[in-house]
Amino acid sequence: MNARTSQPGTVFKVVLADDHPLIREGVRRVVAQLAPRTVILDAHDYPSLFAQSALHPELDLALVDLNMPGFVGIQGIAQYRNRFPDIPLVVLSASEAQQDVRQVIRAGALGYIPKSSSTEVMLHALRQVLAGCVFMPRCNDGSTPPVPTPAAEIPGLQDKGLTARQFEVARLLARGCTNKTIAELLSLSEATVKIHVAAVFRALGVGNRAEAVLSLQRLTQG
Amino acid sequence: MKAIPSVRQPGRDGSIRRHILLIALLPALLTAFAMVAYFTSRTLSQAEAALQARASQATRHLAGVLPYGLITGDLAMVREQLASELHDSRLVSVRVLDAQERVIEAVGETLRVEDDGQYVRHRRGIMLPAAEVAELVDPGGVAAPRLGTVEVTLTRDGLRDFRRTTFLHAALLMTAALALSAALAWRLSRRLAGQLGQIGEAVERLAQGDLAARVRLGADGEIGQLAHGINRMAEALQAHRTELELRILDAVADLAAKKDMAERANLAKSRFFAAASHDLRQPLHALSLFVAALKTRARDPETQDLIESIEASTAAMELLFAALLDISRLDAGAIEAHHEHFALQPLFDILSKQFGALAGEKHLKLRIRPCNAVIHSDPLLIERILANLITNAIRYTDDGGVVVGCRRRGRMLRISVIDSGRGIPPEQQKSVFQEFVQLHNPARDRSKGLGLGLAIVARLARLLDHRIDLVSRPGRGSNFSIDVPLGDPARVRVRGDATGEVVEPVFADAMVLLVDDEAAILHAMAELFDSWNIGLVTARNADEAEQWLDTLERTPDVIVSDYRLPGDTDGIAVIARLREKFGRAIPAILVTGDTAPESLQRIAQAGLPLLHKPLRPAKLRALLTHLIQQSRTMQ
Repeated sequence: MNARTSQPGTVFKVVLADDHPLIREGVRRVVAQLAPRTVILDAHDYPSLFAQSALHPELDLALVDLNMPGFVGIQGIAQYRNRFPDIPLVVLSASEAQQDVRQVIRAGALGYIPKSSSTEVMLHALRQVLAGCVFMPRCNDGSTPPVPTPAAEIPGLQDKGLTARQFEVARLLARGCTNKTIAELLSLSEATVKIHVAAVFRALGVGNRAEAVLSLQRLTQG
Repeated sequence: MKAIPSVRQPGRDGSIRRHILLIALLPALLTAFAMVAYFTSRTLSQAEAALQARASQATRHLAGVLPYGLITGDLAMVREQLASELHDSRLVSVRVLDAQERVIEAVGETLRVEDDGQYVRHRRGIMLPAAEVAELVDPGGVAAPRLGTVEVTLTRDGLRDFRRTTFLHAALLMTAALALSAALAWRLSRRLAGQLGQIGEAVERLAQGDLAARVRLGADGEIGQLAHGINRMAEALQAHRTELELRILDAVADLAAKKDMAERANLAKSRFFAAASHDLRQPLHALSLFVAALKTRARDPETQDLIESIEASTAAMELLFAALLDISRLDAGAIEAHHEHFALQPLFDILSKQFGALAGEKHLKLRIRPCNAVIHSDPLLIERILANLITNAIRYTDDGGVVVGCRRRGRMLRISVIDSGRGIPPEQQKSVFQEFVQLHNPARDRSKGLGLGLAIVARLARLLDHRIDLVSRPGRGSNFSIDVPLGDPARVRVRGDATGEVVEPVFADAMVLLVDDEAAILHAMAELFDSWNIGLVTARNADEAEQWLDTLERTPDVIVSDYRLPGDTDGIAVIARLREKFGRAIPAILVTGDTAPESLQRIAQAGLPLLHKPLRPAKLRALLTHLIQQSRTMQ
């Protein structure tokens, strides 16, 4: 859903915060490839980062070095997120320590990119974040998330407004799996599965599990 | 000073005293005995002689006075004279016998001849006086006429008593002498033994290590000298020991200081290096990015070649710096292990993907055998170890391949990286784990790394307390293995979905309600939220929303609503209604494509955050993340 960035005439605004000017130079070139028209603002420490963000509230992205003067890194992230909750923040860091990654995500960042990453990885990471994902170094082998099963496998459910994930749930439901099993198999939380199951009921026009199972079996056989 | 066990000699205590006593008593005894014997016998023989003399005297006297009485025949006078003599000389009996041995006169007790032992008898012939003169002039001449014989008998009884008395006195004297000697000897010996004993004690204490022991005797003479000598010796020993101790303390302190300095220097060096590497890497990262940018601009092959070489150099530099940084951080203790229980297979999958291509470039096969074990260790550090081992294996194998497998051994799991490469000779199997040691790289070709890979592996293994083993023969490949403890599958933390996202506890069962009348938008958002793993309930209006929320029996964490809704309601109203229903100021977001100032003003007045359509996923995600976190911390 990068509709915004691909629209002509719209400007993609990014603030780049790092205390190493060379890093800013290098990263700038990567960021410039994200959209046809990009405006990149510079900051060299947390105070200047906050200042720039305050001046340009319509920022699309903040790319921030974890260790800059002004704040202890995590605090800076948390403070920034409190102050500008709708600006997606991605951390750029020389450290690759796993605790840092966890802490940063918990502080509200939407991504963590090690500085040792290649251009491709950086671009991939940024694109993922702009698509709404949370990006972490584990994904940096360039793999794309697996595509869920196409909806065409269950006839009669195509136009019911179900998502691909919900089709998966429906299929497992038809096999008689419990919510817990479905959650385990799809690596989801049970609560999420319940919501998907409710959506499937709605699409099938049924009110309980038993009916849903019957309905689904009819659909797959018929 | 180590205590020397003391050996007590039996009789040590008494021997000197016994000896002294013996020395004092024996001679004294002998001497006293000898003297007493001598003088007693002399006294006794003198007494005997005196007795004999008395007897002889008596007979002589009688022989002198009796002739007159005998000649005149005055027996009464004879008798008187005998009695007088008996009394005077204390005789037992006295007899006068005539020439024919007939008793003329006898006075005193009558004795039997057999009682001779007890008596001393003496006889003398009674001569005429002229005969006596003639006897004198011519002894042995013509036998002068004898008148008779006088015989006296004395008793030895007195002698006996005398002898008894003498012996008694002698014995008493001897005893007294001996007692005195014994007493003196006793006293002397006690004193001596005491002094020697004190000396002995002091020496014993010295032997046990108490160099402060001294002999306190006020003695002089040889003992005093001995004591004095021992004291001097003890002092010398003490001084010597004190000096030694001081020197040892000095040396120890010196060594400790040096060791401390060395350790601190080492630590400082490691830290300095870690910090320096960290700073040095930043321009290097920037360099990689510049080179990548340059690459896209290069058009002609020559320039492209050049750029590729630069790229290879920078890539090599980055690897080397990373390795150096890791080593110095490990040495400085800056890396901590975080143990957890985790499954091995996902790690194997990553490694397989990561190194499959690298192996393929050298036409080697990389096979990682499936393993369903759960281990207890630090996943990132284990990954690092295995990555380094696999890199090494690939680097030093020219044909064949690399196999990674695991085998359970009791409570441990042995993960092995086996290659069909050049192998490592036994004498170098230890040193390969040292820094900068590289086999088969005499030219120090830096594209083969710095030789730090195994050094890092060794350090990490030490940090994790896992054992590393190497079995290898030149030309037959190598088998590096690491033993890790098996873990508890029940304690494995649940990870996110296949995209590798970790679902943070804050979002564990987050649920967002989206209200929008456009089905397309609802569908698109549903797909989006699926990939985010955040629960989404969609509704076209407030009623539907309430219906679904009731069915699910859930309160939404955030309400996202389109501002423009059909009917005479709007997003603000919907949000207000739902907030009232749940009795909570549920965080909410308004979405609008509206740019009309009145709408914007109204929204601003409502105090709700606003996102513009078309929705930018990242912005929505950022805002949602913030609001969900807020909502959770508020609860």
